[in-house]
Amino acid sequence: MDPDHGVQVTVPEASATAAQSRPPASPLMSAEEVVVDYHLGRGRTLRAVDHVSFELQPGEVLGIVGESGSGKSTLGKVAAGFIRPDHGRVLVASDGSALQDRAQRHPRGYRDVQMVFQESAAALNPRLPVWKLIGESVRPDRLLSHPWGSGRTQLRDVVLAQLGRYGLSRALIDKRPAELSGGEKQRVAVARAMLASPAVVVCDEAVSSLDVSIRAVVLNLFKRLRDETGVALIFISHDIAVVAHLADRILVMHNGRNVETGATAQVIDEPKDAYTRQLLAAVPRLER
Amino acid sequence: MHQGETLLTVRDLRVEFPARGGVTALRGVSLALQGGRTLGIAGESGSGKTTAGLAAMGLLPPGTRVTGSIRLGERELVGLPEKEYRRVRGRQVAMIFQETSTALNPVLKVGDQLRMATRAHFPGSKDDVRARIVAALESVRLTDHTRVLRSYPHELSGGMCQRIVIAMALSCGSRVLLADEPTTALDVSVQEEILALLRTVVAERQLALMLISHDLAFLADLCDDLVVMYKGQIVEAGSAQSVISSPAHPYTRALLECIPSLHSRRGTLPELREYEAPSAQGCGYRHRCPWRADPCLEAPALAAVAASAERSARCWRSAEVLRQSVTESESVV
Repeated sequence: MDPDHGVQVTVPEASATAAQSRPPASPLMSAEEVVVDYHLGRGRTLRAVDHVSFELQPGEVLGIVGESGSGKSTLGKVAAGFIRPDHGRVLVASDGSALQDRAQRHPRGYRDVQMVFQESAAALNPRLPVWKLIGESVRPDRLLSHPWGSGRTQLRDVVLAQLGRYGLSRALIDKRPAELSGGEKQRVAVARAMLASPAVVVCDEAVSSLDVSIRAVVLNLFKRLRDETGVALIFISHDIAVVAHLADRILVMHNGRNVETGATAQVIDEPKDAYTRQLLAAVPRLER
Repeated sequence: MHQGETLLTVRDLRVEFPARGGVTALRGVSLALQGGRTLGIAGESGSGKTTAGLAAMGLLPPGTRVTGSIRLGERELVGLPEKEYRRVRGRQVAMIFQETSTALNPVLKVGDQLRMATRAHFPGSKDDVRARIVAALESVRLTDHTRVLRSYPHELSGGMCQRIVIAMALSCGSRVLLADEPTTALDVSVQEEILALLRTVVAERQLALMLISHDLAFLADLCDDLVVMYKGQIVEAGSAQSVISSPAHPYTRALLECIPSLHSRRGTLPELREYEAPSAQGCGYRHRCPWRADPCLEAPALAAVAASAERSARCWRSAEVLRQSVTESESVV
């Protein structure tokens, strides 16, 4: 039987052509002077993100590094649309449109940016089998009309046909998260994000809780998906070596501020900021 | 292996969990911890590295079948009744866990927790206990005692909490310290501080430190000796420097290759792939091993690697693997 079951799986490829045809000068996402304050009660506030701006080009991997408390996760959540900035705005260009405030493009403006979290165990509903977990994002219940139809069997087949692409065995289709290994769970989370055919995926410490060998598999998966589909990634991690491996450009955060942004080679080889140098010096080295 | 006496010796340790369908977590592990030295245990989830630490602490769940021997000086720990173990645990063997947030009680002040831990082993006057705690805090470079002791764990940073856990381990004078991924939950720069701290306390107090981690790069930084575990067995052992620079087991090579480094960016990382279906017979790593050959149908023993007596590997072709690693590391330089 044809595993694709007559289903057209065209969306990721479509965004690839979109990525190539778009001139590099027009960004896919633009964050302008974003400020986020957390209210701690008794009138105290903590400025988690302090006037940070960045642009993301189609198909680009932007790495965000910093320690806990640097505001990198908050910035990621702003980019994904989970947090509304107190000041500044995030513009998204989806479906080849011009940059727009995403609130005006609801729900497409939100769906276009997907997120992969550190703890896949917490990010996946333990009661759902793999095909439903991933299927949810293919057909988010009547939220959007989707060309892939509504039949239950068909949705399962669509997911089944896609598993291999994310390095998942087809035997996993009916398994629940508790029956999956850490690496498999993270790949399910990646598949779920990708099958919403997003323009941008925000990965917040997406490989930090994985073993080194599994981490390599998931990093390779991100790299391959970017190359194949042209999806742009915002890759957040405290580990600058992991970020350097994947990112085209690196944005360094420290105490809510963006202390340095630049092409990966430039940030690694000629860091301008003292804090960046400190981060680089802290990377454990195999060469002694 | 020159300095310091042997403090803890593990011989042919086997651990089975009958409750979990007879899973064998350790299949004959032998190692020794020496004063003033750090032994790194590397391995992935399921390799048995954490079980090895828990076994030495006597913290395996009831019903676990443990055979072999764990000797702390003259005392045999395997089969030691819980009542006696309580006098050993914390006092002679202490453990530092990965999650400080779960190692410390969130509703008690740090000072109360340190006091309880210390008094459990040294019931003395208030002043004696306090002196011990202050000394321990000083050796972990926490000088602001009054404030630290009055704080709740959530009021302190992750790095400070980890220092307190280390202080708690030191306050009872244990000379054997087991640390299971002690810095994974911390930021890189804080990680560096904790590593430096561990290095100093090991030297100052001539502690024997067993450092468990999945990250070889991290272990390379701190350890004198290194043991690589795979599926409950030691597959390679030797001095950390020689194992890292010229691994003699294909698994160690694979683990080292898949670490992204600042200098080899943007390539595809080599993945551990399966060449054939795993089988219970022969070498446990065979199905993932690019070096597999006919002899691998029989399980190899942990044996000295031809070139040097202090290196050992569980591989029929370790001499060839080592030669290849040496050639590669020379071609880089």
